[in-house]
Amino acid sequence: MTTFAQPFVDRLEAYDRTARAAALSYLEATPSPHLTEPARVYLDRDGKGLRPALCLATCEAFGGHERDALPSAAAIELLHTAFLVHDDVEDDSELRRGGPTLHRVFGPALAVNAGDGLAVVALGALRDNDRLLGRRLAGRVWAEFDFMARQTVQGQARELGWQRDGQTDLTPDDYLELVMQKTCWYTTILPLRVGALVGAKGPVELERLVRLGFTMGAAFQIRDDVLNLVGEPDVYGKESLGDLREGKRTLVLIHLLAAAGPADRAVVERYLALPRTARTDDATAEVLGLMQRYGSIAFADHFGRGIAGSAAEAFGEAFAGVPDSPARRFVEQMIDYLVDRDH
Amino acid sequence: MSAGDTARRLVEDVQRLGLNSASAVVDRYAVAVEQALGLDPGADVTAPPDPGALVDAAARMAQAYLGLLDGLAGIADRRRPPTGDLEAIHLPTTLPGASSPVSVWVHNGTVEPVETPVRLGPLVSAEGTALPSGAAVAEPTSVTVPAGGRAEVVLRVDVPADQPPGRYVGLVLSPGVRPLALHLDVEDGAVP
Repeated sequence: MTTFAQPFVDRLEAYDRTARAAALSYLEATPSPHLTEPARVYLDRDGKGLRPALCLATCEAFGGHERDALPSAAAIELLHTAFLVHDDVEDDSELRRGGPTLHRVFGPALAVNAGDGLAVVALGALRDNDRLLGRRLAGRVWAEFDFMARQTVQGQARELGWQRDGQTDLTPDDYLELVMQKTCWYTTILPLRVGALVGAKGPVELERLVRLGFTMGAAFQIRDDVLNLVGEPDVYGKESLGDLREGKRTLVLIHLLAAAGPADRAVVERYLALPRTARTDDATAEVLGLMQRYGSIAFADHFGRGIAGSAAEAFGEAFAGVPDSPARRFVEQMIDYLVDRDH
Repeated sequence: MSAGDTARRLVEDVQRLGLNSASAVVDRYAVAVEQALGLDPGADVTAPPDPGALVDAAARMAQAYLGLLDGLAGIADRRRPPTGDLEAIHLPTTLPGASSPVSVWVHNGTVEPVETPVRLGPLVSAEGTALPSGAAVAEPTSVTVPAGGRAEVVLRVDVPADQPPGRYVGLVLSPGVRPLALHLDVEDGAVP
């Protein structure tokens, strides 16, 4: 377990409050309680606000002012929330941020519409960039969001497609490609790139931010996969073993399918062929036991740590020439926060 | 080698595998994003338009109009090709009294929407016969092309029933875009 210095935690909470307030203000400008009531539920719950914090801090580190990146940070949080709502419906998840998922509270119709609404409001927030940044930079930021959104939905489609098609012949490379699209681009890469573009208001080595963002995001996702199997639900905040019950092709599962002997592999394949509702506690426990026996959880953990180990170097390259500041140190500490978390 | 050494080596191998696999994915996507956005990663996105680029654009415009004059002179002269090395669009061969349409696409490689007019110059044959003013139209006459996107413009020539046969040549002009030569062959005959 890693502990974090209070200045980091305070700063994270401050960024979170700022971005969340901005996101809510954009949402509340939509005069429909049937939309805003469900749409704000996740925003009102305790989230960590990592993505907007990364954007705001990177903007400041590169010499900008927090307010210049605020519409982008709010849009990131709104889009993230939209993705969560839809993701929960797609997976029929039970828990999110320590409470019942939106569709379990309001029903799938209102939940899906709330997700749509959050995405639409996010796009509207980006219009404020014209005024703050000028049309040229605002257009560039828009292009970054456009690329990110396409990657995210393609990644999600790829994952759902694997599950629908019962795909079991996957490799770690397939998994990383999925994580790049589904997780990294909107969790780390976009916040870093947009923060740097807005902060620097000039040329930026964006490729280095792709490397930094991917090492942070992939390590974060692999840790998330592991925590879903071994984490305490009270701390973790999501349904324990939810990924396994959903048949998600995590790195752990991919390793198990490759490492298991024919008889055990057949057990896993039979489990994956079942509809989710037929995946009983006993059957799930059996597959979890195989993951432990074949070292699949340890494999994923070490694989992720190998990626995380390069994050410090990637940070040094991406932030070379960026003067020391509390914001720069915050981004650097974010690496450990994402990679070593038990939350 | 002890069991501990073996385990440690295994862990290192797995971590190296993770790092190498991640590096390969990053390399692919770092290229993909710049290609998809069509951007120079080092470009200053806040600077006002580069004066040099404006000069270049003005030079291209001047060249276009010189090309127009040159092309029309070439038609009259008949000794030189009428449109130099311009890219040519060929309208479908038609008969007097019929229409000949073709679609062209205006591409915008910038990160901002661009509104641009599209105009057709006069179409003239090698014999010096011109199509009447208004016979050649662009629809719409102005398009807004989204950032990184394209917009369709239909070029259509309505050939009068008494138009003499021959190859008619003109120019398609849009600011900042290299002019295109427009060719239309009108055959001898009439619409049934």
